[in-house]
Amino acid sequence: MDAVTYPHDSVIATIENGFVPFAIDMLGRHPDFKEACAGGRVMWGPTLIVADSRGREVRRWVGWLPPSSFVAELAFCRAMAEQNSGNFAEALAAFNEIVDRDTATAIHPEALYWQGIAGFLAANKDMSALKRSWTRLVADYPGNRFATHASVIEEQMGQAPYRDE
Amino acid sequence: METIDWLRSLGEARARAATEGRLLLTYLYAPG
Repeated sequence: MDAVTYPHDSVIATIENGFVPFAIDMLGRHPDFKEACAGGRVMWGPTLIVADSRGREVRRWVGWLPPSSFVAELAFCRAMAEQNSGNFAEALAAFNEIVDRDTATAIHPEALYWQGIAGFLAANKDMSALKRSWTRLVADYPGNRFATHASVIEEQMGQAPYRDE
Repeated sequence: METIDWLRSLGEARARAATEGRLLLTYLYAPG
């Protein structure tokens, strides 16, 4: 992270434009360590935890990401924070941006999944937005976990029976 | 070269996140 990801201009700009960065050495007996773990066990580094401005956890993950995927992950966190706050139009706009821009990143299938949900919620429970995103997800990412979650849409649409793994 | 200015106090980081309406990014790392 320190050698490749954090020095990257896009990562620095993304953090400066919406995040307060706090770093803690897992092995350094820092007095804030237990509280920084936010009630969850931290077994491996790097662990990254994103919380909203009120302290509510938005997301956590373990493991290195290259700059493009890290930036996309942070954008995803912003979108999820909007969603969690009930700001569905803002969440949808943020998910749309990730889906359009970050096609080659690890977060893309999950962003498609949540784009569908945000579209559903932003348009007063309009199923067409959900179907559009989830159908694309199932088609583009066979075998992906979120494509599996989304594949229920095929059954509901009567297009294909449920297929067990 | 510009770098990320990591805070080292959780209290200060939370206070800034609340005041500025930003997300708090906590990075737990193992040195070396």
